[in-house]
Amino acid sequence: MQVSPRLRDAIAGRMWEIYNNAFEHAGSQIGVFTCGQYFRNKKELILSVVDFGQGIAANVRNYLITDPRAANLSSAACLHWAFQQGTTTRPNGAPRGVGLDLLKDFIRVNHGKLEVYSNEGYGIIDHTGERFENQSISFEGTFFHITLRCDARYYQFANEVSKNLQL
Amino acid sequence: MELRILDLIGPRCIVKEDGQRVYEKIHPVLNKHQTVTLDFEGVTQFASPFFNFSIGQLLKDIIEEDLRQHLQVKNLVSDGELVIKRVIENASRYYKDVDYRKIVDSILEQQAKESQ
Repeated sequence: MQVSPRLRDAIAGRMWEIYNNAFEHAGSQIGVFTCGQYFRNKKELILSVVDFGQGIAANVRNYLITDPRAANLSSAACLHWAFQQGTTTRPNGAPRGVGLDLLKDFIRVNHGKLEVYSNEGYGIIDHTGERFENQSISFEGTFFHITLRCDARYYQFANEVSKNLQL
Repeated sequence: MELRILDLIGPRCIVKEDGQRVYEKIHPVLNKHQTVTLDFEGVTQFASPFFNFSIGQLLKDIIEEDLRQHLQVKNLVSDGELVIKRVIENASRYYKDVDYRKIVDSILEQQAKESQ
């Protein structure tokens, strides 16, 4: 697989966001599984990450348990909430909640696609937007399926390194 | 104080444990209102857990203006810049009180839109 070092590093960084979420939030007793394949002709990298934890919607409902209405929140609406910047089900300690948002931005710029199945929820994010819906089947865990274009034309890197960055 | 991240952590700034190591070195210095420079030369991969723990966590007891004044960052590639800026923006909101009721309201509002 041939990609520029910059694109390779950006892909690795965003994928870490998924693995971090899986290990930190899922509570999967049997770990996290991942696999991938590079399609040379299409220059597409497909990556899948699955955990068998409680699932995103169950996690959100559990986090909001002090509100009796939380039990009736739909999986799609919970998924939608989890994908917004700054939302997290771990409100103590260090700040969290930007990982999925960074990944989402990357997918859009890259003209890639992210699909997620978790509990009854399904979500799809691509350069045209994002859509979340409820399904009739339920999956106890979370499955991410990501398609990335390994073509630097879809990702405009600023070449410069900030000598001194103003925070 | 200047800290070379490549020497302390290596070329990948990803996990929260590494972020915590940086935090423990710089927090006492910044608390004394002294300047800290983080040099990212040679660091190539970035993810939010590292910055959440190294930088975002500082906003727990240091006000944002002081942090921006006393924390200098240099030789950071554009991908790292994207992550660090998003983390600081998020962290300044993060330490406000969580309103669970408001969260449920916003999810229910989304749910209502779905069923239309």
